Amino acid sequence: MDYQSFSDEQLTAEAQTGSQLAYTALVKRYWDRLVRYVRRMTAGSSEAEDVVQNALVKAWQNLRGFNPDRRFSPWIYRIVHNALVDHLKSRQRDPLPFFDPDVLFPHPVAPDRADTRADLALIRRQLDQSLDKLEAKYREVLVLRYYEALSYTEIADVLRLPVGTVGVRIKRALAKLQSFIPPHEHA
Amino acid sequence: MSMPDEQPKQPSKLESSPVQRLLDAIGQGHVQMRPKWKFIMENVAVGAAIVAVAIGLVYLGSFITYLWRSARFSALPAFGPEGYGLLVRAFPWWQVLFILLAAGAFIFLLRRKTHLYRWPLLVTLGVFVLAFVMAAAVTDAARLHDRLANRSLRGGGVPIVGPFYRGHHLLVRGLVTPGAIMKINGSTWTIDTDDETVKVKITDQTRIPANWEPAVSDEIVVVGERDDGAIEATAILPADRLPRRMPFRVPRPDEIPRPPPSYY
Repeated sequence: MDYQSFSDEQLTAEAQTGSQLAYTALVKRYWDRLVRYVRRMTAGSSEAEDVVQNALVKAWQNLRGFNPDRRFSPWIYRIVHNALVDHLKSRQRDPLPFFDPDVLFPHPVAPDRADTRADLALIRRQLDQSLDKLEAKYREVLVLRYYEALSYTEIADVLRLPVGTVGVRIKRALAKLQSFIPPHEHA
Repeated sequence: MSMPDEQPKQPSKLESSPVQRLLDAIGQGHVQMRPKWKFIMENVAVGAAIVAVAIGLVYLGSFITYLWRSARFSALPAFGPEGYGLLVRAFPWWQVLFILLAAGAFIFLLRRKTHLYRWPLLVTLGVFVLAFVMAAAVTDAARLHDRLANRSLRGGGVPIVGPFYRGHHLLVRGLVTPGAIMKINGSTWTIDTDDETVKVKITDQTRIPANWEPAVSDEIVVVGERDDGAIEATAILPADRLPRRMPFRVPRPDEIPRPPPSYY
């Protein structure tokens, strides 16, 4: 069977019946993205593949708990995020905050919009240069937004945060990113 | 369409890579998928816990408003420091603590199982408090606790929550007793309430307005706990000196639950 044309959710529904081929297709579709996400969050740690591997084992074990009417990508990123948090805790390195006061208050933020190709290229270039200088909580929203192309709502689902908090974190993270760029390099 | 025993057929550059090791572990059955029924049972259990905690919260919340009415807490501040002291001493703080813990558990479970986390926490709390207070007020307005307390104090069978009312019988009976003076005999007064005749013991600690001379047929309000059928008066005020406005006012007689006199 050719799984290339299947959506993530169709593959998941197929894998839930026990099809290892369908899950293999899903793993191969997501492996590079997930490893890249973990590497960016761990400053290129060589253990990124182990973190993702553990997460995908958990995903397989809990696959029947996933509702295929929902989107697969926030679900799998959520599992990898949890594995990442455990990994960072075990290494006592730049852990993600347990509680952020920003989750308390409503934040009026600009609506989620697609960035233009030029904006995206510029932001990614800046991220490539300065990502490691950002705090983990800011780094993660930018990675999920600008490398993994998740929407605000999907990021909220991955990080279990209010959508407004995601928006305000992205806004602040971009401002911090700008502050790392030397004045003569500003576009 | 299901092919449970299929194996990936295309060896690739991923062979012996972490991906392949993962898929091999799954293919060889070292890692098993949890069965669907476990997720269903888990969701049913969490759903039942959410409903049970919600019912418990509304029950306890309405119980506190019921006690506020029946113990006539609202009248206590009119009696000054003694009134406040009695209010602080008699208020059901344990129930308040339990409500706070249960509310935390309720919101935690809801945020885990629904998309509630997409809302700011303060908005969630605000909506929760509003819904909780309204549900508690409606439950109390339906006189649920009045019926349960009366049945329980009469010795009728009230499963699970019966002991709860018996444990609070003094509060249910009221810390504030309005009535008319029938007799004054030294330090013991006799007053007539709507449904009984009660003795009131006056002590050196009893606070009585200095510029007031009590007389038979005066309408008064006595604050104090009952001991062997009589009231140990902490403070006494003539009824016309009590505040009339909410929230510190003496409830009307028809607002007060009435356990049977035979209970005492």
